[in-house]
Amino acid sequence: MRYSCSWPHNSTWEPTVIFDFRKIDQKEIIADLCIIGAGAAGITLAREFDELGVRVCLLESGGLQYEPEIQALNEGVDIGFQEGSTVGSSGLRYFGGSTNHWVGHCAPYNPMDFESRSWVPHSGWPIGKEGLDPYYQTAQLLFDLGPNQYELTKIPEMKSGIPAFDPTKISAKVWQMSSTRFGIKFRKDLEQAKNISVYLYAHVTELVTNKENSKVGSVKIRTLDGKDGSVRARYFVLACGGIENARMLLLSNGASPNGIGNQHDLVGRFYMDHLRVHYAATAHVVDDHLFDGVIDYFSAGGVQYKPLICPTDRTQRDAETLNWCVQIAKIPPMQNEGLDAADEIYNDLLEGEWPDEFSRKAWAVVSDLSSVARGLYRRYKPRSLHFLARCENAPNYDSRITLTTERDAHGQNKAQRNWLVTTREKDTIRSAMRLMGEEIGRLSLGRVKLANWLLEDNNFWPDYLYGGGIHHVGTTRMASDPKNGVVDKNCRVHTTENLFIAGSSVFATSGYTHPTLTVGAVSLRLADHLKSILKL
Amino acid sequence: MLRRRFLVLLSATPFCISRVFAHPVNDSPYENNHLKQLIESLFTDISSARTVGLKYLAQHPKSASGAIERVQQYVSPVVSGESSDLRERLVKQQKNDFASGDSIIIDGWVFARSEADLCATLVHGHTTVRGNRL
Repeated sequence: MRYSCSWPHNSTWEPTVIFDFRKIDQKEIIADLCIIGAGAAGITLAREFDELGVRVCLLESGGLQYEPEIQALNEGVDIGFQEGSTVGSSGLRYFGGSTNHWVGHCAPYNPMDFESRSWVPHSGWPIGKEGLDPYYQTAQLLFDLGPNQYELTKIPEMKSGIPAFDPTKISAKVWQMSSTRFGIKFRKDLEQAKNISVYLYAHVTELVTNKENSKVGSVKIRTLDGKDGSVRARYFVLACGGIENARMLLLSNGASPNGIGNQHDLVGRFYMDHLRVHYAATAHVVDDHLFDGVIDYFSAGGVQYKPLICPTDRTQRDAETLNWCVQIAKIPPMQNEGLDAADEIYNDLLEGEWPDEFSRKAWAVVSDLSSVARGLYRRYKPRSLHFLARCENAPNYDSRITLTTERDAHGQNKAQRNWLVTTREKDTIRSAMRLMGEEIGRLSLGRVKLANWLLEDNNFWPDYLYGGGIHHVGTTRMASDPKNGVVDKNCRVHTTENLFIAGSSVFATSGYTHPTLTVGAVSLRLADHLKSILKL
Repeated sequence: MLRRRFLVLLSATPFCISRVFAHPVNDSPYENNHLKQLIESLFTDISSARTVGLKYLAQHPKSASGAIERVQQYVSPVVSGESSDLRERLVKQQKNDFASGDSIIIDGWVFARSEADLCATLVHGHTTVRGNRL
């Protein structure tokens, strides 16, 4: 064994250890709270019950390290928008989950992300940002972040070189970068917790409910070498990730052919993810150092910060767009074939030449008509900045996770992802780039040229989109009305009194930012709710 | 089809714009030449400005249709002698356009509307208004 653990005897409860479920005699486990999935959500939740006098059982499908045959259980089928990763590659099946390979971008969702926006159908959470704020504060510590401050200009260590964008339109923010691997950071805590037991290689195959689907009695466990087992508990939490949470509910069809919580055919629907478009626009600027403050990473208090440009609420409301953000970069990546066009522009500019006839003429006009920097425009060989756009994915009823007829190693139906991206997202990015162009033009810092693909009024997306499809959001969305969502505001499955869901699958909207910090905050909030139920 | 539309547009717009342009501006050769000189003095490369203007007319025909009237609003005070610096007025208009979101995207480039309008007027620099060359 690569890790140390103690082994249970024949008792039904053996605290203070991490078990390899394949190698213990025990088959039946009894707990007060059974958490399925030991990723960011599951581990966060489990730790909250340390020394609280309830028996917590944390089940993990994998071990302590990556194993291909375990990871293969995540494999599925993609039939929709396909950019970036495949359906099963971003969620990792071993202790620590996706935090084992995440990049670590952390930022809270904006208050408007939680609101019902008239121009975004199906938007709105049953809780507001203020309901999560105290948990965001605590989550900062979980992820080893700095102060709960994400406004760039309020961080004393910020770099100079922040354009004077109109604050009513544009807001400069930051990501705080976390390098926390939950499996490494919290393993010792969980090993030492007297009331928490972790079971590795304990793959849950089904949640077993009563006939009415109103209560889960147990979950079935199976290992890849064929050992079966089960966990009986008072409460269950699914924390398997945005795709697997939905899949597990759909697979648990013993009482109802539609699975659990699916009386309104909502499980798996409203699948959302994030779009990352590397080349959305190029800014030709007179002095790229004037943008240093919104380009360069900086550190403060041992935490790395990454600046970004965001719209204000007013901007989103006025333009009726989704949420978005822009990262600015000076140097384009060279390795992607699809970026040839961007590279060509960049290289031509370095040579002091314009890449095409019209651009040269456009710059001549700008040089003639620009304001205070007229001389600079004329003399200067403009520098090139590239805009990387990230965009909220609109909630879409038809964007969904379903089950295929293909089976995994346990004989269970694999997930099928039909991720839908529409012109709505493209319109948002176009609007964002236009605003950037207007602001940079207004400030006489340069001019912006939108990428050609963005000008086309269609749903064509270039093949140099990269990295999208790794944030699985919305498949068991939160809503007050069971007709609109799978879980209620406390993450409880509407139909099932003792089943809760943790993780990004409960998000009602996707925002522009990475979900993991919010996963932490929502999990902490759920923990508080469960404590109140358990009267702890 | 696009080319045909473009050619039709090109043939039609001088007439449309000249009608608008002819009305408020004095027809005397002096006045027109003065205006022409004023506008052309803004550019060191007239052909580039005309190219931008042509694209503007082709890609945004509705927006471009009021170009002359809009240009006149900030050019007229200079023509009438109330103001002396056309460039200063243009720069102010440019900033106002960007600030108010009044921009025009031409081949991906984000222009202030006033810039695009100005370029559109130059498209007709070789046409005549009631016999007078602009």
